[in-house]
Amino acid sequence: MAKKRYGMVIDLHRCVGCSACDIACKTENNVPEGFHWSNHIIETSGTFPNVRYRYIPTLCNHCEDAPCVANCPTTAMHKSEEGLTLHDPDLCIGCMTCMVSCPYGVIYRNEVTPHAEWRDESAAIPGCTSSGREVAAKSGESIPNYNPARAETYPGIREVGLPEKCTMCDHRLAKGELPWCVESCPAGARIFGDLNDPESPLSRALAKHAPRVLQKDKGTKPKVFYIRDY
Amino acid sequence: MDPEVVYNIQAGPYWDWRVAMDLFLGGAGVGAFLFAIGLHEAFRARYRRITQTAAWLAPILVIGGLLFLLAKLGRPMHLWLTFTRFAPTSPLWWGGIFQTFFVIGSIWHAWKWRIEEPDPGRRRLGWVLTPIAIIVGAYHGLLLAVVTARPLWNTGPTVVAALLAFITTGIAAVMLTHLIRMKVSGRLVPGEHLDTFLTDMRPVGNILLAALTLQLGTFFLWWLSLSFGDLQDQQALAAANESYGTMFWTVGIGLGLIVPLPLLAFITWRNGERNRLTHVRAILVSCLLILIGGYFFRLAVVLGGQAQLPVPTLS
Repeated sequence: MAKKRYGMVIDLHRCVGCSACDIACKTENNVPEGFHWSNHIIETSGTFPNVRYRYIPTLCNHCEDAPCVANCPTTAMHKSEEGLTLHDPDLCIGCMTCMVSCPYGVIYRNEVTPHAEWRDESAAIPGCTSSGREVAAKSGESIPNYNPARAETYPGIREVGLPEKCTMCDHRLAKGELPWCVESCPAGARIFGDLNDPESPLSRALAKHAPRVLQKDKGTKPKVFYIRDY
Repeated sequence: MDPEVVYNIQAGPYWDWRVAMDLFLGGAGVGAFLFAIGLHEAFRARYRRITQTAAWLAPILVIGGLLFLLAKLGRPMHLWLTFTRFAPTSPLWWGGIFQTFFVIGSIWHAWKWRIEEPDPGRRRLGWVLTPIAIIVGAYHGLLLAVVTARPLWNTGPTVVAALLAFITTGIAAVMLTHLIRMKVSGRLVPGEHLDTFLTDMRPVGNILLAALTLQLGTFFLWWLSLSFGDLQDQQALAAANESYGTMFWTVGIGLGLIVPLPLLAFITWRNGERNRLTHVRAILVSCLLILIGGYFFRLAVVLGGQAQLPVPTLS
């Protein structure tokens, strides 16, 4: 049986632009403020009354020919057997070559120790509201709503000086679960699966509709496909 | 109405002035080394002191550049991982390997210059290190040129400009350091020695003039390829020009190339009676301008290449 080769289809016709995927990703992966492993492009065009609004969810494209992988000097950015583009912090020197190489802007670097807001001792309203540090202390974790499951395959909270990116929830895939953005989409707009299985919902969706990818001209062969339109 | 696109990603630039400093010093170091080899081949022991200056300057500049790069790394203490992993598709990996060979070899080569007598081993080492030096010089351009995500960098002239820049900045760094060394040791006085030195350095002036002219031509080609390239090329040029155009055109090209050209031509080609010290001052000013321009051209390219471009969508 052929090896699994993971991919994702985002059905823009089903997407309602609610950003549930973005928020789900933040909570599942303990993503710091200002970082967006799951992100979106908003495009507005036209002149009233002929206007158009388009919402395009984005994430790491887990490119087949990933420039972040090709240019990484230590193989910290690497391809998994299933085709996922993963980052190994133990091998990373923090040179940021991956960030300059990625045409999609989906890799983020921890310039400062992440989640600084939860170490802040000042309260929004002194004597009335709690400080970030007090809230974190009350939660019993370094950050409130910390998800320890994230740490099964990647550091739960990433180190200062190092990049971080979407792993397609590889910790969930390892347990046979779907990425959390897929599970959390209220419209069922995300289809995740094995590109090598012609019977998978993913392959069927790709066969039925004309799939598109972001910046096809870059030749990176993205594995996140878009079908239909918003 | 043009489509308005909003996409919140981490603001750049991800590579800053320290990377530009690495490219500048690394390139100048390689240039200094090749200048040392060239001088020795052309004049043998006649210009031992300047060859010595060039030979020592080479590893010092490359190491200086690497220190700036280390300062930019998120985990500089893990740099050794570059040598334990095999990443042949990464120019940075190759650069790390070849730069290490070059630094060790060039220190050894410079160390061999401490003795007065001709040393065949030193000459052989110089020849072995020459291709490595050229690879390290080319790497300083390839590092940017292979990044397909950055249209400003992803061109052939990027590599050519880097190769030419290492010749001009390398020679300028050596000449500047050597003239300072002469001044400090009290040897920068009008006389026969200075006359011979200035006459012998004429071919160097011609090399510099040729390299500066070629560099100017390369920049023109670079501009042409981007101006008449596809939409993303044009957008990249416009974005870089908007934020770093003044730095590139005024300091990098104007001060670093256009001003030194007539100055050097005047020094190199003028025959007859000359005021030797004015001549030396003109060399100093030209070299200083080439170095300042060489750094700022790289800074403008490194930062300009990371300027925010309009976000391509599915349309």
